[in-house]
Amino acid sequence: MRFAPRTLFGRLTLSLVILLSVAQLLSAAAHFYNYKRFMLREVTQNSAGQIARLVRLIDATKPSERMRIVHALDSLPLHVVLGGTAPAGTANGTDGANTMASLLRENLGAGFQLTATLLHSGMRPSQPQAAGAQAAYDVEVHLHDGQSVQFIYRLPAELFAWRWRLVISLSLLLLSTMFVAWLSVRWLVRPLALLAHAADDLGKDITRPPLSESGPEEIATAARAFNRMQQRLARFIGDRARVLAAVSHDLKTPITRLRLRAAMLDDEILQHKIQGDLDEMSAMVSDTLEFLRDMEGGEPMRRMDVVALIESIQSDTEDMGESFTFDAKPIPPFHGRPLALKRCIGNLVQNALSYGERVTVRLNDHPESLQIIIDDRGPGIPEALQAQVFEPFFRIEGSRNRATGGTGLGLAIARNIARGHGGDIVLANRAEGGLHVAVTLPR
Amino acid sequence: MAMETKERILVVDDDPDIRSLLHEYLERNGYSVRTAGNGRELRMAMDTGRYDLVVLDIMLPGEDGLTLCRSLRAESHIPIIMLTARGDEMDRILGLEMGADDYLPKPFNPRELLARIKATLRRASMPGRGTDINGARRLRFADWTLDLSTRHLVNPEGVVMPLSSGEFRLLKILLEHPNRVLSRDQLLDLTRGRDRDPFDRSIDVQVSRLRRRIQDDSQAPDIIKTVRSEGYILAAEVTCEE
Repeated sequence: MRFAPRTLFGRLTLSLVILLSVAQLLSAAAHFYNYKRFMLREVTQNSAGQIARLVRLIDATKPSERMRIVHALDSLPLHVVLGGTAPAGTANGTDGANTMASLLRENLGAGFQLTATLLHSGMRPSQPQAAGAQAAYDVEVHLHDGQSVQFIYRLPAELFAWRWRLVISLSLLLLSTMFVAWLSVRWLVRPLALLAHAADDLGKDITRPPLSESGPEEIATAARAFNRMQQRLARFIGDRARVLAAVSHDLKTPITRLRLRAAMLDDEILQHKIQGDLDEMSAMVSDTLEFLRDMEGGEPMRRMDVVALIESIQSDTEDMGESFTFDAKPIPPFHGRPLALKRCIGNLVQNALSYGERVTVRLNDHPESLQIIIDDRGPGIPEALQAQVFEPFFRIEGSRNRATGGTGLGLAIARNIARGHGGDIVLANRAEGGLHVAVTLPR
Repeated sequence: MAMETKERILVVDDDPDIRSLLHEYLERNGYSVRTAGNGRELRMAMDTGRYDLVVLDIMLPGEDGLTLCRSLRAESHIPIIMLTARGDEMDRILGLEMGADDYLPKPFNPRELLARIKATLRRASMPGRGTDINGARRLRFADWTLDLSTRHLVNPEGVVMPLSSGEFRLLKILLEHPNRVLSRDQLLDLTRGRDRDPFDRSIDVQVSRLRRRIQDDSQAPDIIKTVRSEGYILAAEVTCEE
């Protein structure tokens, strides 16, 4: 199957076209062959009758009168020559010629000697027709007084033009067949394309609307199965999220108790260590819950000032003893979820501050989208890991440890929020070293 | 500190361990503490004693914390700090609407709770307490709105201007005391007591950031005015919404 088309659409179309063409070719060939034989027989019978009548007439005429009669009778498609001999040309004992001879003998009785030949018939593909020559019966009859008469009966040209007709009509049929095959296969294959599209969408949005369950039975069954799968997947994901939320939530009370117990320890170094561990645990709990909450959405969209948003993150950062540069130029209000976006950009900035230095934030505002770019000078992230760092709880071995690495949910939360706004986050390593983070949000 | 000057705190939580731990922790830090495990015990305690502050868990069996908060608020001005394990925005919004003075999500850092208790008591004891913002969800001043639940400033055109935590705290304090001079020390006292203490900028830095945010000319400010050698004053009418 090396030459088979790659798509199901191509394969179906090709096999339909081949099937229909072969069927048409055979039926057309059979049709034209029968038609020709039938026509030839008709023509042969007519001409044989005519020739027989003429033979009897000429035979009954005095030899001196014959020249005049023959002259009067000689008109197309029948050429009559007195005492002629067969002209040079391809002669054969074809079915047509044999039929002609036997018909004549039947009509004339046994008193006449005769030969019949079919000239230039082209009935055999191995005998190309001479240019300009027309197929004809050549019949030579010896009269009772020994004189011979030659009849040349020209056969209608259309009778032998069948091959061209076949080619033209077959081409037309083939073209229309291909068109119909293309249309019907497309009609058949379309639900499959929809199914593939739906499966692709499912990866991005588990709550996408279900597929239409109409169409051919097989396709409808597939769509139903697909919809059921989507429901089960959504329920499965929902269950897992609820379990994760419940566990995270239930950890809050024991962590609160532990914090109070630790606060009352007399050993201050131990107390400090335990509080550190507890801080980490509660960060994980709250990040997990935040991650699950952002998956649901819920905060209303507001008109907001993104410059003020980044400046508020800048102030918070400075209050914690760190800083980044932000070149604030006013831009028109953006439509988004302020708390979520602050968390998103805040996480990215925090990430840049933790792993890089000289962090800068820029805005690229376009009519159709807003881009927030966070650059740092640091080790960057190896290209092979750039997709993975967005996965929940993923940490880069070695470079990202607990002490600096947070919970491993920051980037996942940030990307969820960006995607929740119909946008995305793209990472790249800078040529001069460091990470380039671009958050693109459609306006 | 003499016994009789100890401030009294009522802790309401359904978890017996947390109750006794909070009891011990707050007593160690100089407060006189009584505990209650549900609404009925809370009422009994309120009937038989006087308290300076209530620490109230939002999740209680029977009558929940929000309902109790509202009925407490209907009877008195006693400061209330809500605790919740749910930690979502909705609880904070509801808690503030029900009249809580502050809100702390579990698992909280005990020091943070202490700081909030101190700050809330200090605010409550300030002479001539400012605007009563209990139950307010939004504060309006000079065409600007401070949304207390989302901690956003909304400009006169209705555009959301996110604030840093420091800016929000300072603006909230100023709005609670409109047209009153607050010294830098008072402002520091009232805004301090959160987990970021060591790096908190001076009040002057926060004020200049706030002025820039509300487009108040720092040379001739209209809204947050400087009172030479005294402090700052918020010169605007403040109205509560919802």
